[in-house]
Amino acid sequence: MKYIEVINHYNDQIKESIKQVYLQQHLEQPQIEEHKIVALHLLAQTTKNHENLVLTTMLVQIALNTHDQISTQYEDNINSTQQQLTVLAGDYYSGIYYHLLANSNDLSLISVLADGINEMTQEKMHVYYNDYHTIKSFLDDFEKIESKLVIKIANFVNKDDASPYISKWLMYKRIEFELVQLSKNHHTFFHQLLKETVQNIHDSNQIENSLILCLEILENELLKLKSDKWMDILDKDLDIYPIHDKQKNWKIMLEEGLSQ
Amino acid sequence: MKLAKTYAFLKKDLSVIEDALEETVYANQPVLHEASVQLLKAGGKRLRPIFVLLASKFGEYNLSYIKNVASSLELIHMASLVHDDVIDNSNMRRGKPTVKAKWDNQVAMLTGDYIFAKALQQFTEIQQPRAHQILSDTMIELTMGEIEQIKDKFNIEQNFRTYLRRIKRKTALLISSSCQLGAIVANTDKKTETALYRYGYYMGMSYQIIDDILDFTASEKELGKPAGSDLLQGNITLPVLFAIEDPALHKELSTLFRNPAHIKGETLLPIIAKISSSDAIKRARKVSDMYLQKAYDSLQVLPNNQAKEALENIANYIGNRQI
Repeated sequence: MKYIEVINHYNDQIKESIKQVYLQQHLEQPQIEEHKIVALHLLAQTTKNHENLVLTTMLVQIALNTHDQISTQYEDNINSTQQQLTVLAGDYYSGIYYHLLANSNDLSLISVLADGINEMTQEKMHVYYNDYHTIKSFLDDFEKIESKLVIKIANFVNKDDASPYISKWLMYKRIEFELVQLSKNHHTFFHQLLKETVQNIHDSNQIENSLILCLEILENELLKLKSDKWMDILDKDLDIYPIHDKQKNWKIMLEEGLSQ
Repeated sequence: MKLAKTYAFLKKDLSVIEDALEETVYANQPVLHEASVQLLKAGGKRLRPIFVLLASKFGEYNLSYIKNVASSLELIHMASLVHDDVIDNSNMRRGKPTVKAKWDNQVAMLTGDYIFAKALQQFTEIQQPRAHQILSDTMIELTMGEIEQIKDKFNIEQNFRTYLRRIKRKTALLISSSCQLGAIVANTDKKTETALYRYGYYMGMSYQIIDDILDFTASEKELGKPAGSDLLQGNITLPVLFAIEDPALHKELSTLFRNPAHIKGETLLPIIAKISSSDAIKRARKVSDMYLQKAYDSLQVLPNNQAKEALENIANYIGNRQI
């Protein structure tokens, strides 16, 4: 199956699993991080029940991402219904993950994913309460959050060797994803976190510039892992989130500047 | 009789559960740890663990195994409360600042997710698939109950059945599951398990109805939150449903609810006073009593022992909470 077919297949399964009329009427469809589907599929494809493994891990990720949307300041008006339902949507998606695994009697995966949630919430709290002087130090910490569940699955399916490369690859794709969101004027939790925790990042332009810089850093880090067999399996240039021409040009300009 | 006296024979076991709770929520991250421990120390009656332990007394009582169920259920209850406080924008619970008030919404969301994950990890010590199916169904129903509650907010055209379905999901199912799971992990026979499940369900229904009555009849000090909070949030509970059978009150509330954003605590005071002094409280109490009676009846098939007596006493206590 081509990666795009894999993504579509799991996208459909995820949407079907979390279908709930009232939530759909009031909330936008949750963002599905398609790069994680690809990584999970490649890690799990030779294991039994691999479909359940990819689906439930993605549900946990979506549940936690949904809760990230709860703003720090509560909007004390009637529109708060959306915020209230966002809390419940995250709880609902978590419930579905547990329900699916309980019904397929996969108790070990329930425990692995619960452990992933537990570690991820601790990492998130660490990032919230930190004050970063450089984007690089932020990136290093955020990578742990970004890759937590997928790395848990890599360990679960005995593919620990994949962790160093996959972790960087996921972060690279996440930044491409965030650049796409920025170009659509969608402000995400990640953008907010950058503004709140990294010094000298206050507006969208600075976020865009810093994200492009992050891509550069990660590209170099991925190159350092060039002997890794996972580099051939998970292509850095896999075109999941086509970033804006302006952003691509900016990268080229940077490189040109360097060559001069 | 004081509630704690009815299950005094469980004191040692409950302290084992308390230790397990504290051990389970331990977090390396200091804020997460403090928030989780604050929730734990805020108290609570630990009703769900008590129901698990008492139900297990009708089978093979192995505390080191059963404690995984008892503490997980309490943690799931706690996780749902910390998220509820974000939903309701509540600053106080049991007279103490909530996690969202002491820190912020994001910390409350993460604390809830963390405690939920810890609960599931603990529950996976139970290797009986049916127990997991029951708990996962319950958790989905619990969330559905909360979603229904938001859907029905400020809607005074809802009926008795809507209300019952909502409180079943919101409260009764977690209590009935506590009793049923206690029975399952103690390997009781099916008849015992069903009786305990039913007892928990009826108790949960009665408990929530009385909670809804207390929202009108108890003082702010007793509740740990302002009286009439439910109505202020737009939640139509049983006393309100009965009271608005009076067309004048129906009209008054319906006019107010047309602009929920403008409702303030003081605007509702006259309506709260009318509901409190109407026969709605008495009628709601009657419905609660009917459920209590059903709870007592469910216990009849069980052998007479200390646990049965405690379950009866708890029902008695719930029924006589100060109204």
